[in-house]
Amino acid sequence: MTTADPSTTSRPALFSAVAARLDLIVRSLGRPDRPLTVLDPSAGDGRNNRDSPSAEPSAAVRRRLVALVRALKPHEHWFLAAVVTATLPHALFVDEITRAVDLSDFDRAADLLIAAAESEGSATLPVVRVVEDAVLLDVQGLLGTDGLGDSRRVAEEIRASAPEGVVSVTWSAAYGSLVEASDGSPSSSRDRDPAGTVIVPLRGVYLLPDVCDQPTRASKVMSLASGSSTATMSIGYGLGPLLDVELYDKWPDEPADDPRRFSWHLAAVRVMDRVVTVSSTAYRELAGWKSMLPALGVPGPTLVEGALGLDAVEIGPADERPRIVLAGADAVTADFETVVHALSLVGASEGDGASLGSKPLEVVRISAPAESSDGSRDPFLRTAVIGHETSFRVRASDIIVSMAPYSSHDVAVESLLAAGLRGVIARTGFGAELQERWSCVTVTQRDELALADAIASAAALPVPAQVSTDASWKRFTDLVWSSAARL
Amino acid sequence: MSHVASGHERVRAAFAQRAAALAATLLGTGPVEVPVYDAPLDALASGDNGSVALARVVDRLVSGRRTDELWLTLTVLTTVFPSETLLLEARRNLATLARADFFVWLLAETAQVAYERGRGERFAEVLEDKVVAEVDGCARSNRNTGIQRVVRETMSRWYGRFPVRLVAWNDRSNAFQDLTAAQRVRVLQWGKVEPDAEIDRDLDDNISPILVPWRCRIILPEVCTRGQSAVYESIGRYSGNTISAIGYDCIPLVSPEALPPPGGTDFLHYLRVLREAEVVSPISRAATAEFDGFFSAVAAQNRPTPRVVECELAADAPPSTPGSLGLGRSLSTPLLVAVGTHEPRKNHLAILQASEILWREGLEFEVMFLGGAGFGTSFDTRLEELIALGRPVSARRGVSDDFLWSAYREAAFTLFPSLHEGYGLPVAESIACGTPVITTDYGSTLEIAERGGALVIDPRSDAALVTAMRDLLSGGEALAKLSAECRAARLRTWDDYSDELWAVLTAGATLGAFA
Repeated sequence: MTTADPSTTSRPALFSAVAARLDLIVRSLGRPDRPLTVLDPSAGDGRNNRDSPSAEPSAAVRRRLVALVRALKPHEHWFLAAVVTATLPHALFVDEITRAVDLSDFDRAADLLIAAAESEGSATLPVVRVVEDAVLLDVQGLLGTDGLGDSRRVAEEIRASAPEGVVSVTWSAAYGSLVEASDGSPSSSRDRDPAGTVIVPLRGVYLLPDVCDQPTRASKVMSLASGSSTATMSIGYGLGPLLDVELYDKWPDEPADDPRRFSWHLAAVRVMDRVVTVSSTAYRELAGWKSMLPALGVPGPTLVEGALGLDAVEIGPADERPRIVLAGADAVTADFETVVHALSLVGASEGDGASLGSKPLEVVRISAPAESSDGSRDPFLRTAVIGHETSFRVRASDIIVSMAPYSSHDVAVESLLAAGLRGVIARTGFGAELQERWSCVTVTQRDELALADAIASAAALPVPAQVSTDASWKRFTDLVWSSAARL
Repeated sequence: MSHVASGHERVRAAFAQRAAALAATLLGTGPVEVPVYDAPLDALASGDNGSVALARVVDRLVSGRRTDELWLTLTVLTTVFPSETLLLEARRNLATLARADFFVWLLAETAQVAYERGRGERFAEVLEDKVVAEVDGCARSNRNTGIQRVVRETMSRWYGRFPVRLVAWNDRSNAFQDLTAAQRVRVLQWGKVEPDAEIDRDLDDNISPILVPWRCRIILPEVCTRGQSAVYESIGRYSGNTISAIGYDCIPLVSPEALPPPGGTDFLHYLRVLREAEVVSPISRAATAEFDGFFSAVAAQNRPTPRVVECELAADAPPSTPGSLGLGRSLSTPLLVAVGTHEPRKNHLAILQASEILWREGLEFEVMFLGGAGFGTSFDTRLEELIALGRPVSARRGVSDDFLWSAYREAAFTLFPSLHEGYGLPVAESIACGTPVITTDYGSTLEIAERGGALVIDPRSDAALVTAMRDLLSGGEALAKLSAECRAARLRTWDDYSDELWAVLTAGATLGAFA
C-alpha cells in the first residue's frame, strides 16, 4: 500500500495519461443504459491517450478515478486495472482492488491503481488500445527458437491461417503487457513508437498457440483467463516435461528449469476455456491432468481432440543399401544413445539373415522444425550425418528410427511414415497412434536389443511404393479457428 | 592373538563377504553371516577371497541374462545402488561379451565404482522378501509438521507389530543402512524423548553393513529428494523389488504458484518414482483423484501404472490439554483460530478481509493465526494495518503442540478456507477437538466436512466467508449445531490409519515378507 498522496505529487505526464485512460474505460464500458459520468468532456476521443490534451490537475484526475472505481462492478476490476496501469494485472493486484472496494475504501483502490500505473509505466507511458470483441493471437513463441517440439511450427501455421480481424500480439519487456505485432514483426510497432501500444482486450478471445512457461507471463495469462471478460484458448501439446521430467530437466541447477516452468504453463491453461490438442495421445494426457483439477476447485478447460498436419516429403529413388534416418531434436529427448548401441549390435551381427549384412551403416539425422535456425520450412533439407555434415532428401529405401522415450506428436516422423517409408518407433502413446495409421514397428523404449532386431527386420521388408499424402495443415487450423469462434 | 586388519585387508575381507552373500542369494548356497564391522581379521577368514563365489555368480548371470540379478550383483559388489547408465551398460556387455571378458569388465567396473563412490570396507546384508520402509527424512529432521507427523505416527505403530525393517540412506546418499540409535529415537519416540542437537553424533561413525533389498517391498512414506528419485526409479524399473508409497498431494504439479521458487522440481522428479511403483496410497479422495489423473496421463504413453488405493489420513486429538491459552485475553470475546503457514494457498488475506468487514459491522471477536512465516503474500502488511487500527488480531509462529491444542479447544470456531490441500489436517484436528470449522467446499476439506462439524464455503468468495463467519458469530443455533456434530463425528485414529495403510502398502508383496 502506498502512503503517498498523489494529489500533492507533481506528476503531470502520468496523470495526463491516467486521465486519458479513464476516458477510454468510460467509452469502453459505458452504455446508454449505464452512463458512466466520469468522462472528462475535454478529453477528445481517447485514442492518443499518452498525450491527452487535458491538463487536468492530478487531484481532479484522482477524483475521477475514485468515482470510476465506485461505479464499476467487481467483474470489471480486471479491465480497470489493466487500462489504468497499462499492464495485464496479476490476480492478487485485482483482488486487492476488489477488497478495497468491498470495504468502501475507494481512495485506497485509487491510490493502488495510481501507484501501479506509476511503477509500471512512468518511464514510457505507453498508449493503451482497447481491443473489443476480437481474437488476440499471442505470437510470443515466434520470437525465439524455444518451443516444445512442434509448437513453433504450430504457431506459424495458426498465424498464417488467421482470419481477417485477428490481432497478433506479443509481450512487452518483462512480460508486463501485450503489445501489437500487426505486420508480422513483433518489434515493428515498438520501432515506430518506443513506448509501444499496449493492448487490453475487452471480451473477445485470447489464443495461445505455444507454451507459456515463463512464470510472470503465465500468471498474467491466469489472471486474464480468470478475471477478465475475455475467453481464452490454447493448444494442448501433451505433458512430456511432467511425465518424463528427466528428459526435459536440462539445467538442474537453475531454479527456472523446464519441468517446473511447464507446470506454470499448465497453471495458465487450467483456467482457460478451451484447449485443442495436437494428437489423441495429447488429448488423453490432458484429460488425465484435467481430472486432477477438482482438488483445486476448478473444472479445467474443455478439451477438443485435434491432429497436426503433415509436411510434404520429397523422396528420391531407392538405394540398394538402406539408410537409417534418425529422428529427434536432441540426444536426450530422442535417446540417441540407445539407437547408437542398437546400430552397433546390428552391425555386429553377421550372417543370421536379419542383419544388414557386412556393409557399413549410413546414419543420417533429421531435426524438428523447432530447431531451425535458418527459417526453413522443410526440415529434411537441414540434416546432419553422424560423423560428417551433409544435406539430403529421403530415399524410398530409408528406415525411419525414432526412439524418443516420450512422444505426443511428431510432424517430421509422421510425414515420413505417411510418405511410405519404413519405420521403427518407440512404443510411446504417439508411437501407438502412428502404428495404427501407418506401416511401422514399435519397440520398447531404451531396449537396444529389441531395437536392433526391429531395425534388422524392417530392413528385410520390401521397399514400399511411395504413398501420396494429404500434406495439409488446413484441417487442424480450421479446427482451431472454429473452436475459437465458438467461445 | 587376533590380527588387527589394515584398510586393504578390511576391503578384501568385506569383498569376500559380499561376494559370498551375493552367491548365497542368487545360487541358494545358504545364509552368509554378516560380521560386525570391527571383527578381527582371522575371524573373517573363509578360505575364499570372493573369486570363487563371484565366478559362480557370473556363470549364473551369463546363463540367465536377468536384469534384476545384474542389479543385485552391481549393488552388492559396489556397495552403491547402480545408476541406470551403469546397469544398461552392464546389460549390454552381458549380451555381447564373452564370459571371460564380461567377468573382467565386471570386476574392473565394480571395483572402480566402489572405490570412487562406495564403501568397499563395508559388509553387505541382503534383505530378501522383506518389507522395508525408508524413513530417512524423519530420521534426520527435527521438523514435525505434515509428512513428518504422518510418518512418525505410522512407523511407531508398525514397529514391533509388523515385520518391517526401517532403513535410512547412508552418508553418501547412495545405499541403505540401518537407522542409528539416534535416528530410531527421532522416528519411533518423537515427543517421548526430546530431540537433541547431539543426537546425530553417531551418524558419522556409522559402520553398519549396507542393506540390499532383494525381491522386497520398499515402502516410501516420505517424498524423495531429487537424487533419491533417480535411484528409486531404477530400483522400481530393474531391480525386482517393488515400491509402494503414500501419496500426499500433487500441489507442485497442479499449483506451481503455491510454492516459492524454485520449489516443486524435487516433487516432479519424485513422480518418476511413483510411475514405477506397485501401489500408491493417497491420503484422501481428492488426492486419489489427483494421482489417478496423473497416472492416466502416464498410461496415455502406453506405460504400466501403479494401483492407486485411498487410505484416508487420521486426525485425533489428545484427550486433554493443559488449561487455557493463558494470554490474558477476554474470555467473553469469541476467539477464531486459523492454523497454517502464511502463503497464498492458505488464503489468509480472505480471512483478514472478512474479519475487517465484520469488525466494521460491530461484531466483536478475536482472530489468531498460528503458523509459519510463509511467502508470496502481503499478509504481514495487511495484518499490521489492521493491528494499527486496533483490531484484535494476532499471528503467532513456532507455537508448541500444547499451545496449538489449547487454541483449537478455546476457539469458538476455526477458519481454514484453503485453496488447495492434500488433506487439511487443521480441519480434522479442529473437529477432533470439538471445535467447528469454516472450510473449503471442494477437495479433501469437503470430505472431512461431510462427516459433520464444518461449514463449507467457496474460498474464492470473500462474501461467502463473511456470511459464514457472521452466521457462526451471531449466537444463533448454527454454531451449537456444528458443535454437536463435532462431538458426534466419527474420528479416524492413527491406529486405524496405520493398520489400514500397512494392508494397502504391503498387498501383493511376496509371502516371504511375512514369514
